[in-house]
Amino acid sequence: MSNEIFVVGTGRCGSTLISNILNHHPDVLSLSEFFTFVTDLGTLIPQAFPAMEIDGAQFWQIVSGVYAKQNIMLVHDIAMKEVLYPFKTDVRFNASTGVPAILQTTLPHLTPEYDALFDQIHAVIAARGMATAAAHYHALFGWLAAHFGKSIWVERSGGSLRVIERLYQQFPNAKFLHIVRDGRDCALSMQRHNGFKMVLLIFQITEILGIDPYESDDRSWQDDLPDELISFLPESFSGNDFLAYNVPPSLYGHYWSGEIMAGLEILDKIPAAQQLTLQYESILTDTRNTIKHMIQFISPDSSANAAWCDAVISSVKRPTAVWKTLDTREQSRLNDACAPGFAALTKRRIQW
Amino acid sequence: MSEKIVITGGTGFVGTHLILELLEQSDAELFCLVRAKNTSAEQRLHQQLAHVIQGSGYALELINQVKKRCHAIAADLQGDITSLATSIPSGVSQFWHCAASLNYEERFAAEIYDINVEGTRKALALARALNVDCLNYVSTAYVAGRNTGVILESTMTEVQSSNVYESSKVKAEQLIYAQQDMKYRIFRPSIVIGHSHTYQAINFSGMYGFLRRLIQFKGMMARVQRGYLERESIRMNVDPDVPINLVPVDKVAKQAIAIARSDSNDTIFHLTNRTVPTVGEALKVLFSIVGLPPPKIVQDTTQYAWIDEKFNEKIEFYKSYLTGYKQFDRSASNAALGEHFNTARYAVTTNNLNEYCGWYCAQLTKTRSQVPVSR
Repeated sequence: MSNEIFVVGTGRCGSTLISNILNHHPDVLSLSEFFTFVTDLGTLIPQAFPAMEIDGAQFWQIVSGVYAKQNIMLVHDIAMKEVLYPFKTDVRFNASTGVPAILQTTLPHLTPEYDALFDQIHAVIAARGMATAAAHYHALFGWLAAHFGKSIWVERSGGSLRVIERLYQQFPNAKFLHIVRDGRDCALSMQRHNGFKMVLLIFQITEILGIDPYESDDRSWQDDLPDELISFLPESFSGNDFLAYNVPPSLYGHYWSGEIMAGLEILDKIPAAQQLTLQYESILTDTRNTIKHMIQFISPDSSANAAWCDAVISSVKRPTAVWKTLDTREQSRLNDACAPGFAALTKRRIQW
Repeated sequence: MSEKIVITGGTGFVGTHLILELLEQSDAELFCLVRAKNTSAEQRLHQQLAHVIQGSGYALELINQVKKRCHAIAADLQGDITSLATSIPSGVSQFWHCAASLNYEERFAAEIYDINVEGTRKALALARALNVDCLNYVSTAYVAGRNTGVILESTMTEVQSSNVYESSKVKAEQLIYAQQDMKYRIFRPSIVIGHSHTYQAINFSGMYGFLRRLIQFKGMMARVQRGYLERESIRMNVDPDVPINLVPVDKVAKQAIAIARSDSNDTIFHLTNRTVPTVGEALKVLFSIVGLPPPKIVQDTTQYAWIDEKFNEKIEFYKSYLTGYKQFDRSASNAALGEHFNTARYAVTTNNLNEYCGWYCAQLTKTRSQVPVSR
């Protein structure tokens, strides 16, 4: 069976918990938020998977790129809580220099010696010749697994249903663990998350300007930007305006539905043996059985599974975002927004 | 000796067409106040006029007349223009003030005021210094703001404007009413759209701005959820049965020139259109051309979902076109034009509105880049 696993889901589906508990498994390398940052919050997905072969130096540019959106969030002190690199202290990389994508979360999640590991990876990748992006990613993840003495790697990035089509193209033999959570709770949690707020702001600005303002200086259509969005251009970014900008949960509900529907279309193409869908809520209510089920899918032959289950079971905590705390009107709007996503999941016999 | 005419805003939508009509209908020499940008004022003016000639069905020979009779004077309404009196020959009979900012977002408020109000004050001072016989000012029918019912061709004093653009045009008109040095005419076009035969437009505010916002909103939602707006109609609280007064730019120019050449003693003229679609019909065309189902018209905004609220916020500027019955009185215009002005060729129907919008969508496709949805 494949020792390459992706945990996929919508934003705020609870998959961070999976990365955190897998990090304690002796046979599993837990790669956290790798594709979140390499795609600059999912806005540069095609760029992270170039169609042509590239050499090691070009691949290193993708992996270690200092990307504009994630780094402007560091500058304005609105970083996502998933960022583990200590960019506020006077370290090698900080908000002024920008933090390379792989260093934002992925490497600090693995080791306290993340800067040294960064250099080691650089040397390994730089020595590589021309290859497809898929081959480079295989080599990188494989090298990291070997480096840490693990036999399996599990990559998990928040909201990675958006990238599942690329992942399946690049890793056709990988296994996909799909975590689903009640869309209304996902939406409420996304509303409180700076990363997803940034993504929705960028969607709006990109559509009005006809370019990604963090990747292009072209401002030909800037007069079309409403006043409320001017503060989110890189040249006039305001952290205070960002914090004050309010997007209601129902928009995230629409986003959740869209991601579910598009993601399920791809999951339908993946052989049943290569995928497992788990409801986040069952991790909370039936923790032991659900975690056991999950680790059997990830690492069926590991003798460490039982001990690992015992060790991590107490770290499963109930989250705070609960959609029923919203007022009646917003609950109703959120229900409507999530209805298409629920309908798509019901066809796969997943219900709440 | 040929007549001398000064024009501001000669590279703008109405301004270019006025110049071409003047060139066609008279042997006047035109002195055009034009901003120099990347190219000289003269190059900008001549290029823009050539572009309109080629795209709007004017005889190509008019390009030679442009070169011969259109003199560009580098000027910026946000700077000093009164001193330009010395660069313009004496004996100017008419002054056409067409320059304006068509922006409306609050962040442009100071600039809008500067160009539309202070610019008009400066234009008046220059006209005075040139001792012109008559100042012609291109305003907008929407100085009427939120007024409904019959909108007379009369001065606008007490009015509740819908936005900073409209209020700037009211203030500019008031400056003109207040001066007593020269004769004036105020022309109030409604929503100016492209040429009645070729559909060409060179300014993309008004109906085009609405269409663009619709396209942008569809694109935003496609990034959030593919196909959402194709399945779910946007709700709008507008008046579907009121007419939306769209007027082709060539009609505006021809009527303005014809009125200026008439012996009318009236001072305010509505340059509106007789045959126009209703708001409901127009919205159906606009939504259809961008691939969306027609909006669902609702009686009050409490029926809005958040997405409806967001869309309606984005098109707030256009609400004064879409709500409230306005019947623009045309007594003065019609009297000046007489019975013979052919208005049938300028009718805007749902059929040709589709062509106007299609022309613009094709332009947008050619000129505007688009970032594919990242997946």
